[in-house]
Amino acid sequence: MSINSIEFLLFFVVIFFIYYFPLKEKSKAQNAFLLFASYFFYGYADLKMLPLLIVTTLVYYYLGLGISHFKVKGNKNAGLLISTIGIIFGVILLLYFKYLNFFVASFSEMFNSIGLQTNVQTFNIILPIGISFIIFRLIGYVIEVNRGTIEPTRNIVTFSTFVAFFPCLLSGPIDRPQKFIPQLEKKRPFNYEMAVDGLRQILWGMFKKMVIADNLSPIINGIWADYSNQAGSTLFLAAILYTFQIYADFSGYSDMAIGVAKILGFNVAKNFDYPYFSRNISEFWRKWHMSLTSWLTDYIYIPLGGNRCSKSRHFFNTMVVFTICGLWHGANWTFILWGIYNGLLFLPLVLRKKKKLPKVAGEGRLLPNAHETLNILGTFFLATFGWIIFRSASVHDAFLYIKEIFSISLFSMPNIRGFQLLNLLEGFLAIAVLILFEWVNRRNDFGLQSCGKSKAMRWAIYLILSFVCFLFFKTNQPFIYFQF
Amino acid sequence: MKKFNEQIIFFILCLLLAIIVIGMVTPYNKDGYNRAFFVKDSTLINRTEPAIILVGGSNVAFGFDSKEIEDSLGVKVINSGLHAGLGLNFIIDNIADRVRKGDVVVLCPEYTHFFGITAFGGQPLADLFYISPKYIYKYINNYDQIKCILTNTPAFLKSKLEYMLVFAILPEYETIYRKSAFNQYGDVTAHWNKGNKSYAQFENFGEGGINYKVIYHYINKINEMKSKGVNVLFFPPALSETTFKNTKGDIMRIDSIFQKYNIKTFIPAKNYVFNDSLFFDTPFHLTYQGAVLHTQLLIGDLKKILSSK
Repeated sequence: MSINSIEFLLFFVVIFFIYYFPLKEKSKAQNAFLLFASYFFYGYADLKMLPLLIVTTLVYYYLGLGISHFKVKGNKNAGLLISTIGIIFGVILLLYFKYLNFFVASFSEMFNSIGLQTNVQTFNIILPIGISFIIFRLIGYVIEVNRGTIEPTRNIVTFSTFVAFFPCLLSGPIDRPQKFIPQLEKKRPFNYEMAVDGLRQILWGMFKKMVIADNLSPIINGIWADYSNQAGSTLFLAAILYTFQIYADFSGYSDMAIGVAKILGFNVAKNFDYPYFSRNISEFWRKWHMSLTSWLTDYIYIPLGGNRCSKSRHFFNTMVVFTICGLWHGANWTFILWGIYNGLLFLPLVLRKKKKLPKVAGEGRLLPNAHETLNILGTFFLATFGWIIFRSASVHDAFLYIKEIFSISLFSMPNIRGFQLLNLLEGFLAIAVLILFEWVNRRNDFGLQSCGKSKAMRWAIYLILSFVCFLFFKTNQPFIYFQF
Repeated sequence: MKKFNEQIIFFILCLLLAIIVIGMVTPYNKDGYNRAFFVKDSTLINRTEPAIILVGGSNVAFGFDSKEIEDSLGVKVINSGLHAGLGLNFIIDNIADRVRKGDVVVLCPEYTHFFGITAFGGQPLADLFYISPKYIYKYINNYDQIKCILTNTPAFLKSKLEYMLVFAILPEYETIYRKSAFNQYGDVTAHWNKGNKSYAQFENFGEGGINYKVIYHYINKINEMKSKGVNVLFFPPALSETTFKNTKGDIMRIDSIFQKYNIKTFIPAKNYVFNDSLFFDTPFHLTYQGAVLHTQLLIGDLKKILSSK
């Protein structure tokens, strides 16, 4: 049951009415109901893995209590030890479910390449959906309890609801316990303003997912599947389109998840802050998949020393974080290379003296100035080449794809014909709408938060966008980030 | 809460009104490909003699030179093939309704017709339903077909708007996917003077698993036609070499199911596999050269089968 499906719509309508009518303002009952709904949601997607989610949740619940127990007794080392066990347990789960086959196959290939024949078999392991998001949420919890930022929750239902909260369960945002758990512990009456804002954000997410990402998907997939026979210009166009597709797909999901959470009375972490308006790669990473970036910053980069150290160490820390970030996305060398590529893009920023940028591009102006425009475009194209590595099936394919772009055929007309041309025109129009709305709202949380003072104008925009989403509705359109 | 619910209801009503109004005021493409269904159906109704009826999806529409079959066998030929997206239920129900004693029905549905939810149809079924609901409703007899029509309603409305847009911007835009692309026998001929395009091969047909519901319905309808005195013959669809190699496992699964129910395909699937270059824009749509070759094979096989009976 994907968040963009009719099944989810029906599921959510039922949740909404039970949550706000019989259970109105009874936070404990609301939490228990949310937990039941979340397990139903997860079981609907992957019933076999539901016991794993429950058992893992219980393990971390008791680890949190254990850390607190020893801290109260003044035994900080024991608390640290339990917290470390929690981190190692999470990493082992990830290594087993996500990376074991990758490492086995990679070692086998490596030995074979130096003439040592191995006969190692890969294992038949089913990847539990959303595992990367769930494990990062749980590791964050034990670290924060050990740091003393939060008291461990003694209510098992509250804790389990934090772990399994259905809007964010499969693809994030990766919420922090110190921000989310207190919201579960207080009363949540219906909040009109928040619910309306949530609906707006869902609509904006749907527009990005259905009208941009899903509409561009067949064109991009077709070109990528046959990239060796395509002109450089066609490949370049597909790379640009993919840059928009992955943003529209993932930020669309995040907007829908955050919007659903708002309707239920929760403020969850922001995940995107208009990353394609970034003026350098550092700003891009502060604005792209923010809940993951901040997680990696707080729990890996800063403990390694962050940027308060020598330049070489700072660069090393950056490379470590980006390699892990790449690996987090999946068991493939393309993701690791993508991480390394992004780390390397930081090198000039590490060497150069840091200049503080205004909070948003075009601060106080209608449009960005020439210098900002060049920086935005430069960052956009650097990200685009990163996405080529990310999207390719293998490192070899990624290099060939980039090599083909820089052939003489880059200056020919892209080869898009027939009804794909119409899809492309629709895609360009939708991208123009995306850029316009997000530029106007770049100081707000999402691209549709403010769209005119007149009520009639706002309603007209909502109706037009809803109608366009209806036209582009298709069943069974998965999200790219579900695979991570 | 009350204000919120009232606004939601008002918004949904406005949206529904917009959908209905735009759906009603936007014109249909009078030369739309799926409209050929009504022409083909009227040929089936108005004929005065028994005929060889070619049945399937677009592989049948693109796959034959029916005049050649008619001239060779001396029997009237009607090519009823249109689009796999009508769903096998719809196609077989329509044919079972139209056949008469003495007809020879050549059944060659696409393999995709036996797999997943798409076996019940796609956007083409929604197209036909909205063009003429009174005409089509009698062939809509299960929940999955209704679901298919409902979920494809947005795509249907979008196609109407795109039609307006395309012909406003590109009045010269020419496609072979139009009603006028068919000849009097029901064969698509508009591409006969064109070369082939690059097209994607199928990796499998099996997404969603075998659809037994559709298969049982198909078998029941075949028995119904046989009981009317109709000679029902099974042929494999024309398929490109690469797709055949990729999907051999799926094809074997389907063959074994039909063997179990005593549905004998007269010709092995591999006999109707053609070189990739003989396909126009999908691994099912033959070019003219491909259609000629396919027709010759069918004529030879039909002569053998009909003379042996």
